[in-house]
Amino acid sequence: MSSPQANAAPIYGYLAEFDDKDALFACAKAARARGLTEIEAYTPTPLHGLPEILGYKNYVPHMVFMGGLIGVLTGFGLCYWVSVLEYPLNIGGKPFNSWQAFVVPTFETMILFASLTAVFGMIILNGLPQPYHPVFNVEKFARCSSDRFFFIVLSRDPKFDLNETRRFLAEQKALSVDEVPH
Amino acid sequence: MNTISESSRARLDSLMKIGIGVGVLGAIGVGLGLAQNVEGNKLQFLQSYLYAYLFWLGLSLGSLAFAILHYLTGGRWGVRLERILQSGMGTLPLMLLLFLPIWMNMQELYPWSRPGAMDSALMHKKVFWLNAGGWTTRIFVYFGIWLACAWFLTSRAKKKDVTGDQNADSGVRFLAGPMIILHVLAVTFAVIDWAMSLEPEWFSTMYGVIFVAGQGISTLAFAVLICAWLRKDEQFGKLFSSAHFHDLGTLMFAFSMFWTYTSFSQYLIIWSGNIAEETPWYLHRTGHGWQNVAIALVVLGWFLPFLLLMQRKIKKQAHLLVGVAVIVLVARHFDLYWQIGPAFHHDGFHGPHWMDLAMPFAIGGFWVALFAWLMKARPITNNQVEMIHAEAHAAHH
Repeated sequence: MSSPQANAAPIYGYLAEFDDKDALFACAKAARARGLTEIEAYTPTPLHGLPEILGYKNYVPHMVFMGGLIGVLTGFGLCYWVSVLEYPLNIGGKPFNSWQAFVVPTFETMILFASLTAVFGMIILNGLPQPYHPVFNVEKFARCSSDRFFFIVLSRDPKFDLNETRRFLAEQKALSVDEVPH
Repeated sequence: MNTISESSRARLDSLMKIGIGVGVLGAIGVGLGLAQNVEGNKLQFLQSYLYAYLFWLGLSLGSLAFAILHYLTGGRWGVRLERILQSGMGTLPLMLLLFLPIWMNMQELYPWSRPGAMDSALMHKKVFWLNAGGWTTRIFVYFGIWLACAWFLTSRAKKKDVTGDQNADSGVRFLAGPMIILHVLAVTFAVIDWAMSLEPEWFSTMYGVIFVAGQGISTLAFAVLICAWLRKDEQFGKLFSSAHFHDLGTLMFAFSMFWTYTSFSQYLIIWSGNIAEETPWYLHRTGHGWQNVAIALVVLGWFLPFLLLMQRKIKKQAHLLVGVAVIVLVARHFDLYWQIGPAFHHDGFHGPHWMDLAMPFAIGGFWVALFAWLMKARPITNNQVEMIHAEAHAAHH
C-alpha cells in the first residue's frame, strides 16, 4: 500500500485492540496525559464521554444553527418577495406583508435547512465518502463492528515515536498492538 | 437510603419557613393594597387573585401530569423527580380551599353569572354550560378527578417505599393511560370555566391545551429550581447530575416549543378567519398598551428559552439552567396576566397594580411551604432510585 503523499513515518499509526470499554477509556486518558493529540477510537456502540477525552470538537451544532438561520431568512424572504414584491394579491383584505401567514413557511424552511445541514455537515465533517482508509489494512479491525474496541495513535502526531508509542500502548490492557501500514 | 438525611431535612425546614415568611409578607402586601379602598379595589383584588391562583394551581396540576406521564413513558428524567412531583400534587387540597374566594365572588368575576347577561340569542345557547349551578358542581368534579389521581399515585408510591415491593404501583401503570386523558380533559374544561368564560362570547378550542403546555413548562422550571437547590446538599450532589439537568432542559425546550406552537396556532387561525366573534379577544390584547405585555411574553416565553435551551452547555450546568427556569416562570406569569387582565381592562393596560405583584408571593409562599412540608415527610430517594443511579453511573463510566 502506498500513501498518496510522502510521509516521514513508515506507517500510518499503531492500533491497539481492547475487549473492554473501561480499558479503552483508561488508554485514551493515559494517551492524553502523555500529550498525544492525533488519537482516534473506534467502537461498536457510541460511548458517552469518550469524544471529550479524545479532545474531539463537534462543529455540527454550530453549522445547524447557521443553517436554520439561513432557512429563516430564505423562507421569510421568499414569502415577502412573492407576496409583496413580485405578485401581490389581495387576500381577504389583509396587508400584503402579512407576517402572521409567513411564520409557518418560515418555520418549515428553518427545519428543512437545519436538518439538511445536520445530515450533510455530519457527512462532510466525517470525511465521507472515503473509499480507502488505512485501518482496514489490519484484518482484526473488522471486529470493531461487533465486539472489539480499537484505539489508534497516528504517526502524524508530533509526539509519535516508533518505539516509544508502541511501548506505551503495550503497557495498556490491550489484547494486541499492531502496526497500521499506509 | 430509606430515611431523609438531617441536612436535607434542615434544608427543607428552612424552605418551609421561607415559604411561610414570604406568604405572610405577600398577604400583608395584598392586604395593604386592598385596605386603601376596599370597595374600589375589590375587583382588582379578584383578578390579581385569579391569575396568581392559576399560576400556582398550574404547578400542582403540572406535577400530577408529569407523574402520570412518567408511568406511561418511563425514562431517566422522571425517576429523580418522583418525590418532587408527588409533593407538588400534594398541594391540591390547599388549592381547593383557595378556590373559595373565586367561587364566592363568581358574579364579580364572571359576566355570564350576572342577571340578564345571557339574554341575547347567542349567549342563550351557552346557558346549558355557563350557569351558576353547573359551574359550581364542576369545581368538585375537576378537583375530584385530580385529587383521586393524586391520592392513587401517592398512596401506591408510599406502599412501594414501605414494603419494598417494586410491583406495588403496577395498578398505577395500568391506569396511567386513562388517567392522563381524564386529567387533560379536566384541565381543559376547568380553564374554560375559570379563565375563558371571563369573556363568555369568545371561544377557542385551542385554549385548554395552551394551559396544559404552560403548566407543563412551569412545572419543569420549578423542578429545575428544586433539584438545583437540593443538589447543594452533598447527599444529592451525585444524584442530580449534569445528565439529569440536561434531561430537564431538553424537556423544557420541548414544552416551550409546544406552548409557542399552540399559542401561535390559536392566534394564526383567528387572524386568518377574521370573524367578529373571535377577533375582539386578540384586539383587546394587542392594543392600548397590552401589546407591550404581548411582546414581552413572546420574548420571555418563546425567544429566550428557545435560544438558550438550544445550547447543550446551558442545559448541562445547573446554575445556568436555573437562570432559564426563572425566565420561564416569569414568562408564565406574563402569559396568565395577559390572558386574564385584558378581560377586565378593555380600555387598555396602565401598568400592573400593586396587588398583581404581591399576590403571586402571597399564594406562592404558602404553596411552597406546604410543598416543603410534604417533601420532608418522606425520603427523597428510595432504594430503587439508588440502584438505577448506580447502573447509570456505571454506564456513564
